[in-house]
Amino acid sequence: MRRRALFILLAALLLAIVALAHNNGAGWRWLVQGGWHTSARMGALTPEEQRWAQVAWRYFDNNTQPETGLINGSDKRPVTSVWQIGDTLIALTAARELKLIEEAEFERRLTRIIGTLNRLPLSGAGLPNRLYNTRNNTMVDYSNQPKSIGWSSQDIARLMMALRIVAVRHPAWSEYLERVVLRWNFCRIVDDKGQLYAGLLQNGQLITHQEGRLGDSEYSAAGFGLWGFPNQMSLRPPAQHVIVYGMALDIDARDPRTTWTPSAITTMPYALSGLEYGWELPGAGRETGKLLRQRASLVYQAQEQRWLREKILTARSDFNLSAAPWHVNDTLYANGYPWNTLGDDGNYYPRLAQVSTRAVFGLWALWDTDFTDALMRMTRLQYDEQRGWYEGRTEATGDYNRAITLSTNATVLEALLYKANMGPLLPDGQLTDNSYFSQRLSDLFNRPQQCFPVERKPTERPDVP
Amino acid sequence: MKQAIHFPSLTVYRRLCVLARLLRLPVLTRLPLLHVLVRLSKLPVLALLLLPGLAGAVSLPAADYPVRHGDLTPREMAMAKNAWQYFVANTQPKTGLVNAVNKYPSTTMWDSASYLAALTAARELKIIDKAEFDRRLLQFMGTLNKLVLFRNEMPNKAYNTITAQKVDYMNKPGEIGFSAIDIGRMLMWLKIIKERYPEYGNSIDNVVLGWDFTHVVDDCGTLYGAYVDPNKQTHYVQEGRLGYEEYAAAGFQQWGFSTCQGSRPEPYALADIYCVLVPYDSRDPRLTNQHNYVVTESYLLHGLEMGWDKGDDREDSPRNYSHPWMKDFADRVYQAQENRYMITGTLTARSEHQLDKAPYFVYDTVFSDGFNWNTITDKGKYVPETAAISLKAAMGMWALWDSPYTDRLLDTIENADEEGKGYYEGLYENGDGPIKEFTANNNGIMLEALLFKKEGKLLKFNTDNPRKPEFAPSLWERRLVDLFEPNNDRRNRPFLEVTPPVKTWCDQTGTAVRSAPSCKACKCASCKNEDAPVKLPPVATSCLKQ
Repeated sequence: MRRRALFILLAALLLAIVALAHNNGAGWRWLVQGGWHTSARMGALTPEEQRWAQVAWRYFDNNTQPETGLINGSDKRPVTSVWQIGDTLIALTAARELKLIEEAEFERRLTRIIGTLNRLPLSGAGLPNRLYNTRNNTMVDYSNQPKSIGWSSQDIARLMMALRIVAVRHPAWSEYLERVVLRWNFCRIVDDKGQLYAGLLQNGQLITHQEGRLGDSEYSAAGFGLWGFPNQMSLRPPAQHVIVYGMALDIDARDPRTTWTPSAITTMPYALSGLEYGWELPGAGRETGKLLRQRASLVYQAQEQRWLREKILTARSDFNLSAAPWHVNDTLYANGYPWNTLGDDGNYYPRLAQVSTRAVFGLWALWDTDFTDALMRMTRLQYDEQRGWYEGRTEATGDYNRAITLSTNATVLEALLYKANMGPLLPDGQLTDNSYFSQRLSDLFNRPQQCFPVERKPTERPDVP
Repeated sequence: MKQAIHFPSLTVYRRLCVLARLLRLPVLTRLPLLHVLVRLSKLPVLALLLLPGLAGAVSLPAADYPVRHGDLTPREMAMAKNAWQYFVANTQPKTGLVNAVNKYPSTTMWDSASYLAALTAARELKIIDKAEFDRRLLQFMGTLNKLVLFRNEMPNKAYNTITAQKVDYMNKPGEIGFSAIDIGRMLMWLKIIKERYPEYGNSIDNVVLGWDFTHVVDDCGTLYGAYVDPNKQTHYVQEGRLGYEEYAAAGFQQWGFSTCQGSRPEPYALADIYCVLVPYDSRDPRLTNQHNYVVTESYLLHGLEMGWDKGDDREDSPRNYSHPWMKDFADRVYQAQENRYMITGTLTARSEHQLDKAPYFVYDTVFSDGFNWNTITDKGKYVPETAAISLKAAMGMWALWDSPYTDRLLDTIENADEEGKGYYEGLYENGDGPIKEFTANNNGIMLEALLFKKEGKLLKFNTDNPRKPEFAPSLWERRLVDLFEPNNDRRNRPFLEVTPPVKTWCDQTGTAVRSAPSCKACKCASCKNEDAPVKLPPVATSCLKQ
């Protein structure tokens, strides 16, 4: 009797091990990454989802510039932001993992991009310019004229994060990926307390100002935290409550009327923090982590409530437009008003509010609910098979916003990768002492003097893990 | 020497925070806000953990502050006399009207109602005798009856106080429209005077009978103002936002109008202001050209005049607030201001007020147009440097909430007056001293707040109760129940309830009774359920700050 029971137990154990190890240990990842208690969608892609990924990859196929390996930021327009170079690396990683491309093609594409990044002409103070021409890898301004206009810490943080995503999945490449960052000078972009700064070149003068309001701020902080930079100030921006459907949502407490910088709550920073880090941002302790998770959950719930109560499908994020005002920040709350839709010119454009494709994919991957099913039902065919996914669907009319951009198509791939990966893409992305980066900086007598973490004064961390 | 005062409301904050701890919200001892509270109270942090009684923790301290009641002290009497100086200096002998702003001969219905409030208070507080009161009121009522109306409908927005002519914004003869909010306040005070001094009932009723209510209130009880566009076309647009809308509606209600939609708090949303959830009107100011300001004045006028009671509540019990939500909303607006003082140290009593320099008038708010503590011009420009302690708001808060904070407010404003001119409009929050402007509204509301301390709710119904058998209908009532009075329908006068004594009177005089159609919903479909209980929103958040 006892022997038989033992046999059954052993057989069950063996079966469990096989099940967990099957498909590259997918079952094991499911178990350890919390698949059994998460709200997210996890599992292999269905044939339809695989088709979605193909449509998104179509954009990258169409828009690759052979000379540089860079991808146009929007369809056929040969300009990319540094944020979008980050998007490109994530999309490429996803394409390989979702088996949209062969290893050889991955290698060719990655080689070209890394080469370009390591030759990137730098803007004032030794940092990547906001925009580059994708054909010839030169710094350009918003009208695609050759010009150095300064940097955005937000964009650079995204690229720093994307470099880590590639490195973690393809460790053999990490040396070349780390060289990209070692070229930059961090003295003006982040201070010892972890406040991030944007740089603006005007008439040859470099002006820096604090960058990042609550939401964006923590997400940017994470990118710098991965590389060991101080980021505490940016992880905990001043917050206050606004009440939406009886829920207290956190918004930046700095006054947009006097600082001329909008305070906004929108989906993407929270969705990306979820997809990449599972809201456990590098540098954040337990308290901050809990807070971030709670904020993300409220951002989801407020949009769900709008659908439940007012019957309006809602998935908000900033988006591009093929006409003025060109770029719109479509929010849950901004500058004093719920469901505010702000153009980059600061005006209010309620007619432009839309269900954003990338917000839908972010919410859909992270929350497996009736609401995200409803969102996806109206989003799943929102593409041009030959060109990629549209930006979104306009709330007021039901029309497509037919702009097609790199960021939206990259987010589609990122969300699908999250599902197939069964969890966050970068749960342990911080650099180890074993890396080329650390070795290069450990030489006390030959430091690059570019304000890398080891060159800074150690700072206090109020919220240690 | 003032001693440190104890703020009872601190206790409740501590309880709120303990409650939050029990709900496993982030660690509280780290919160700067809490540090402020603890420092203020000079209590060890440990005391936080020992506080008993979480039940009822989520109600505002303001809800438990009593109203002030009792005879005026010599100091308060002196304040009343100081405020009355404004009216001595600014009454126009030819018309009996009072300038709304010192020496500027123009006024509105709102400011004239504030004069009626001042006049009542002056008489009741024995600053003037009955003879002086009668001389002033007889002349005033005569002028009011003779005013030329806007398009023969309602009083124009502004009148010249020397000539009693209707004027435009530049005080030049002309007409610019009417304000339902201003008229609502005037109706309220005409009713208060009619009830207190029935000897004036006749001339008061004649004023109101002369008005045409066709456009000012619709079948659902929504209030409309009128304005004239540059092409001289008249437009009637919904007027009033949460607070003022309901206060004005209460004035119309006193004359028998059903104001179902105007009296509802909806649509509103909540703002978290120093842990208090303050309701504001959620109609979008970007689309409607009306700011959704939350200020003290509208709520305190309802408190002083109606005692936060329903319009038909003839009881005079000060501790019983029969209006389903007005008292609660007023408490929130008060509490947000007290909390601001506790947390930032800025004495706060906000209202709209005049300035002694450009832009001359601001909405100095608790919340408006999306922002807490917004101070904006009528065009919506942000002018934080003009924020001030409004004296009328401070005085009204003092009368309605007996608390250490309002004691301090009174100490602050007590001597902010000028001999022979009355009280200043306000004291700049940034320390720039007084706003050296004097207004009828500011001094009038200060006087009515002092009268409230002595007498309680200012609307004192006389014994002539329409439900009692010996009831004698007034001129207004007699006309309105007469089916053959042609102006009743023409001027959109309300239907009065035909109580048995009214019915008897009609029978005795052979008057055919005009009564409301039995089907209420036929008049306004959305007002079927007027007496449905109001569900109050939660009052506070867990005062957690980063």
